[in-house]
Amino acid sequence: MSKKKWKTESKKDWLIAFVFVALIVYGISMYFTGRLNALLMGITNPRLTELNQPSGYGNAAVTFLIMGIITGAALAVKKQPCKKILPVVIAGAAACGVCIGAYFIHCELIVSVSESMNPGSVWISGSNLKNNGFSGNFSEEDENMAKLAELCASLKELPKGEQKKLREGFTYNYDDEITVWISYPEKYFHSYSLMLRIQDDKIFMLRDNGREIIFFEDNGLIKAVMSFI
Amino acid sequence: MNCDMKEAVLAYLKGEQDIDAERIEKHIEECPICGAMVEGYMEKEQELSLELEGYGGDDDKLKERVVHYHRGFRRIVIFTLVGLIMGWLSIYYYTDNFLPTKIILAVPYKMGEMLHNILHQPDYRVYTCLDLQQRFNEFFPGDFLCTFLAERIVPVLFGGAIYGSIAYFTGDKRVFTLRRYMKFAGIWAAVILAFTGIIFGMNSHHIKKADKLQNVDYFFLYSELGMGSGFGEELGNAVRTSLYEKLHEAFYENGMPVKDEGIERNMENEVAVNVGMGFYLTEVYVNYEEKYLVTASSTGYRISDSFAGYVKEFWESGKIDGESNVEVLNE
Repeated sequence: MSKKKWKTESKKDWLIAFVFVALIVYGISMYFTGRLNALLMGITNPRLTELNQPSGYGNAAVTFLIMGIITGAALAVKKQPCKKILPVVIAGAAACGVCIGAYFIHCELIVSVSESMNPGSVWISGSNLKNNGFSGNFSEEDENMAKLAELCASLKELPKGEQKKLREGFTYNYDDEITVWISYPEKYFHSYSLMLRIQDDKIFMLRDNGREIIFFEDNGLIKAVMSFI
Repeated sequence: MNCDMKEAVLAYLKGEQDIDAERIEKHIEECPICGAMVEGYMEKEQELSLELEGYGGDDDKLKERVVHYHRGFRRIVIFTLVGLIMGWLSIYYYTDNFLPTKIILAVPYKMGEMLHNILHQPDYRVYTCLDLQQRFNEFFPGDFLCTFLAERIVPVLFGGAIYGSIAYFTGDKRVFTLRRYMKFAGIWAAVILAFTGIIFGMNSHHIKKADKLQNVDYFFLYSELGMGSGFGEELGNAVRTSLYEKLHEAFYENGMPVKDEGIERNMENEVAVNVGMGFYLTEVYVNYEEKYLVTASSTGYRISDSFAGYVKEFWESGKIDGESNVEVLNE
C-alpha cells in the first residue's frame, strides 16, 4: 500500500488516533509513577508521607501535558493556523495544572482529617521500649489518648533555617528511635496515618525513602508519648 | 540459435551508455535473430506503457467494498500495533488507581495470567508464604527468563489479539465477515498457545538443568537469628565476593556435590538455601549434620564437610568462617 493510504483522513480516524496515543502515553506514565510521586512530594503537606500520598494525579497531569503538545504538533504538521494550535497546547497545560492543583487540595484535605476527626488507633514502638511499646484503639474517654491526638493535630513544622541546622547535626538511628503511628478513619477517598519519629528529643518525619527529614516543634508531644511507655 | 551480440543488443535496449550504439544498430539490421528480439522487446514495452484505467462499471457496492476493505485492513493493522504496545504496558495496571483506565490497561495482563493459571498449578506456598522464603514471582518461581516471557510477552500477544479483534468488529461487516475473523482469531490463538508451550518447555528444561547443580554462581543463606544474606560474584561488595568464593569452592570441593539416591531425609534438621545458576534461582534443603542436600525436585546429593560447615555456621551465628558478620555484610 502507498504511504498516502496510511494517512488519517476523517475526523473519526483522528479521534481514534487521539484516543490510542493518549492510552499509550498514559500507560508509559505508569512506569514513571514513582518518580512522578517523588516530584509531587515537593508540594505535599509536610505531614503527609509516601504512605498516604494520593496517586494518579501525576500520571494524569503528565498525560494531559504531553497530549496537548502532541496534538499541537499534529496540527502544526497539518499547517493549521496558530490560533488553532495555541489553545490546544494551552488547554493541555491548563489541564495539567488542574491535576496538580487537585493533588495539592486533596493532600490538604487528607491532612485536615487529623484536626476534624479522632484517630482510629495508636501504635507506639521502639527497639528499646519495654513491653514492645503500646498499641490500642483510640478511646475518647482515655485522657492521655485524647491529649496525644490533640497534640499530633497541632504539630507545627520548624522554620526552614532551623530545619537546615538540625539536619546537618543529626544522624538517624533506627535502633534509638521511637515511632508513633496514629491511624485515622478513611475520609476524602483516602486513609491517613501520621507516622512520627522521636529521637534525641527531636520530633521528625521521614519522606522520600528516608532521604528527606522534616522536624517539628515539640508542643508537649514527647511527654505525652512517654506517658504511654 | 543464438547470437554472440545478444548481450550487447540487450544493453543497447536498456539504454546503457558505454556501448558502440552505431555498430549495434547496424548489426540489428543485418541479424534476423537480434532483429526479432528487438521487435518483441518493443511490442512488450508498448503493452506495458498502457495507462491504467479505473473501474468504469456500475457496481457501486463493489467499489465501496474495495475501499472499505483497504480502510478496514489498515485499521486492523493499526489497532493490532496499538494492542501490542498496550500489552507491553499492561503490567503497570497495578499502579493505576483510576478504575476505567486500570481496567483497560489490565485486560491483556489478566488474560495472560488466566491462561497461565489454567495450564500451570503453581506451588501453593507462593500464595501462603509458609515456606522459608518468599517467592517474588508467581509464574515460574525462580525462573526469571520464563517469568519475563510469561508476564510481559504473552500480554503483548493478547493485546495484539484483543485490539485487532476490536478493529474487526468495528469494520465493515460485508467485508470483514465472521469467517475472516475466525481465521484471524484462530491464528492469534495458535501463536499464543504455541508461545506459551515454548515457555513451559523452556521452564521444564531449566528445572532439569538446575537439578544438576552445575555452574552455581549465587548462594543465599538463612540464619535462625532471623536474617539472611546473598553471596555472589557481582554484588559489588568485596567481603561478599570473597565469602562467595569460599562457599563456591566448598560446594564443588572434591567433585561434590555427588548424587545419592539412597539418602533418607531428616527434614527436621534441614535448612533452606537458595542457589542461583544464571537466570534461575532454586531452593535446596541442606542437612548440615548428615551432610546432604535435596533439591526442589527431591534429588539427593552428598555435600562436602566444608560446605555443610559454612551452612551450619551461618544458620547458628549469621557468620561465615568467623571472619565477618551480618553488619559488615549489610554495609
